[in-house]
Amino acid sequence: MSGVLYVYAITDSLAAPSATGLHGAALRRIKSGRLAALVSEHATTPEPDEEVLWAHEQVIEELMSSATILPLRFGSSVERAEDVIAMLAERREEFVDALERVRGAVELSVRAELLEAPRLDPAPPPRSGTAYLMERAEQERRGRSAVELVHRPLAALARSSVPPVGTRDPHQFKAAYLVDAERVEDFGSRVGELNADLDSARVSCTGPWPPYSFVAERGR
Amino acid sequence: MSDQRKQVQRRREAAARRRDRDREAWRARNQASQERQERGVSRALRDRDVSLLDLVDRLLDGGVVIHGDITLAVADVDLVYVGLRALVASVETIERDAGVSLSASGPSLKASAL
Repeated sequence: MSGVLYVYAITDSLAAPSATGLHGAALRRIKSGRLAALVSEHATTPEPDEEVLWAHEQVIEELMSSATILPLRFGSSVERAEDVIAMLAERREEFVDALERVRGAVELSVRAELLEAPRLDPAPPPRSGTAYLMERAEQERRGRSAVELVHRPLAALARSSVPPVGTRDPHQFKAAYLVDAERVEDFGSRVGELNADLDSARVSCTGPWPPYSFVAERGR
Repeated sequence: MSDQRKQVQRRREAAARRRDRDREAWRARNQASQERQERGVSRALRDRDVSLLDLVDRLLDGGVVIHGDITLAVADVDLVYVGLRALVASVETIERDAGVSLSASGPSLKASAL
């Protein structure tokens, strides 16, 4: 074969894949023991652009609707079916554990923008290094407690969560939550309540997503 | 007027002031909530952008990684964020939401026609 095998997901479901792959390509299961990878054949690995990313997501979501899956990162491909079989065998334990962790759950993404109380006067220039550091510490403390206001009530509804990381700005908060499928509605309502209750934060939630952030132990 | 009556009068005035203050606070809260709702409507476009950022975060930074066979290096992921610039309200928004500094990405990126 001259092309590539593009890998979407790993599953332990025995059902034939219900979805069609990228660019209408047929989906195929490559088995190793109880695990299988869902792949399609392409001439080259697809380049990421907005349309392809959404198309990839749609394939994964269709797979997720009828099976427990571990989604692969976009752009994962191998040359031969034997590579897939070897990977499934080598990492069997990791994948079996991860499938159990995410079974019956979906991922929800939460972003919060934390609004500071408006200053009445323009901030005076810091009088000294100490004053500057104290102001920074105070800003961070406020940021953290606001994160607590958003994160703690939401984490209580989740099976697990990937703690807020990855943003530089202390007023920007993002986190991922692994939530039982039947609790998604409660989670959404809680986000709505937080939005209504917290004057200092604007909270938004997207999902349900496949469990991208929970394929490895303790999230990624 | 006896001292006692003066005291009652003062208490009444204080209670009235408190009532006015509470009413004012309630009015302010109400208005803030109304403004939030209005912002919610006008944020429809922004919500689409947020979904796109969440999608990119997940597809390019999450999921199972097959060692050595990933097509995108970390630098390429930054490139994708840059490529999405036109879709998101502003470069500032991407930098803020994605924690990616576009301005630090070098002259070649700035020069590319996105």
